[in-house]
Amino acid sequence: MPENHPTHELLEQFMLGELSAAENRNVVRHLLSGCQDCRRVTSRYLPTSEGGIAPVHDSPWEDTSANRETQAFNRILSKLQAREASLAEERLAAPALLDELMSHPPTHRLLLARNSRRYQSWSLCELLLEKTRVSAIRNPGEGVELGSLGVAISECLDETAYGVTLVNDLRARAWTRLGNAHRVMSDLEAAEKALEHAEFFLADGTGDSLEEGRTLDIKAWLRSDQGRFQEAIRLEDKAIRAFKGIGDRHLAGQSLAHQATFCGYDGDLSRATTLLKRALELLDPAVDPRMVLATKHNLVLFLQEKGELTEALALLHEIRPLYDKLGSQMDAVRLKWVEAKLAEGLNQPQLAELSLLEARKCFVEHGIGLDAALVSLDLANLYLNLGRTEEVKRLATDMLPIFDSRDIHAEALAALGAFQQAAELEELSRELVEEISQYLESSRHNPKLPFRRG
Amino acid sequence: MFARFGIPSQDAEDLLQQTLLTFLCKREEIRSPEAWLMGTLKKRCLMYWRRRRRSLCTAMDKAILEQVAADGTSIDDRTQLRHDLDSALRRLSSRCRSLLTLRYRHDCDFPEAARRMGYRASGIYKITQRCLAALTVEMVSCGLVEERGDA
Repeated sequence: MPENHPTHELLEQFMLGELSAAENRNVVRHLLSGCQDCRRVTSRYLPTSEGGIAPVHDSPWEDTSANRETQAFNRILSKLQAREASLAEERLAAPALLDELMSHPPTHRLLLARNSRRYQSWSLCELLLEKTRVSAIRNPGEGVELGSLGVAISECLDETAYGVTLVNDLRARAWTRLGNAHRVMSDLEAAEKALEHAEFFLADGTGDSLEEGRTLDIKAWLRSDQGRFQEAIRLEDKAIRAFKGIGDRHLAGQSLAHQATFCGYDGDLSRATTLLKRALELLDPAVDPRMVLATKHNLVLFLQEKGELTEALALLHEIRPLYDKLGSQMDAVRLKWVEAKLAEGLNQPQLAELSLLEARKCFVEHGIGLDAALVSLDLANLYLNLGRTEEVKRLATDMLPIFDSRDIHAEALAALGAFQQAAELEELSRELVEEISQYLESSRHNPKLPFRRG
Repeated sequence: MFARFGIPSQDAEDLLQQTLLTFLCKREEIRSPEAWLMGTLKKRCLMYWRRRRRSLCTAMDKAILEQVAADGTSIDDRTQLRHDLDSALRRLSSRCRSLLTLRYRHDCDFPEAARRMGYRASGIYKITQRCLAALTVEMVSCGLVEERGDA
């Protein structure tokens, strides 16, 4: 039997990380010898994925005098009260502080954020990140600028005052928001790097599933934009679990809806419609009525693509009043587009044609080139089905304004060029139209995706 | 919950305090406070032990490296150390055995070990953590181990 066994206490302390480097070395050397007696002691303290064992000398949390517990709660309460008071002050001051910061020229804002303690506040950072989230959708360029500012402020927050894990959560949020803004701007490389930063900070954060779920959701969108749909779907699975773990049904429903979109992109329409129906059970219209509308809109689209026209039509009738109530002008145009697809499916070509022409005109007027191109392709398919080849040729000529739209990237131009050429030569087929449509959808957020004619 | 996860009382107080402070900062976004609190506390308990495992593995790794590098030990001691280390590594998977042999016997850092074993540098961290965890479990668990006699 090996001599010089460490004491029971020493072995326990080793397992709890309470020894010096020299003491660690001695214990490890002894354990390397294979001493079963000592391993019997250490194995008791080996932490598993389900937890561990508190030290023998520890009085368990539950088994104390009422006095000890009361003291602990009083300590916690007093810290909470102090934090609440300072947070309340910060929150009051944050909007004015943001206005002040934004009143400076963009080039000065970052400098001020990094060098003036005045702007290094939790509440200001939160407010800025919320603005980043909204801007990323409406004005992506501004979203990147605000996101960068949010990241800068989060990096300067006082870790001692707020707590390092909490600050890391906010840093993770800042990088996630910035990453999303980059993604919407189609800078997928910058988005990828930003999300790596987000994950780095999440790993050393509070473990808040809300932050984790949000980052996973944005990463899923990035994967989708990169054409990696199965990965996107798996990431949303994790996001859904995270949100359900903290009882947030609405966000779980939102992630389900996103997952359905990725399934749709991947061609799995059955799963997409199932997921959308599940999402609608969880989404809360009081929280985000537009999200509910968008989800129902997508369900109509997928049902139509599956050929389940009766169900699609019934749902469309149900949600039409919602478009009037909540929808923007562009939502109304997209509704027209959906109605056109349904009309074609129900063998109503005249109605389909009228609706498609109207939708295309609106998209062209608003400079939304990609959707205008997609509607044009739907029109081309309709005309091909009806044998109206002259109109297909005219359609190709009428596409010129679309080529000038800012959202038509070089590869999309090549795809539309292929369409034009085939139409002029009367060589256009439904397969080619379908191929170009699928390419344009896939390249929506990934302009570097090359167009290759099959 | 703390009792269920075996969290020591001092650390339990810290975990509870941090969770409640987090709640305070984020409560406006939290739709189900009770579910959030319970879910977050549970996750923090799991993270607590995950960090503890990682610290233990790091301490084990560091101690072995220091033993191996120590000057002034006798040839007999160094031979015995090598024998004991080989014995522990023999019980690991071949991948872990190769990786940790490179580390402890051939003084390779992780990027170098990755290169020699044909792994991407970005992927070696996770593999290393798993192998160190396997070695740690092997060394602190009770089981069928060759116990050497006294020299």
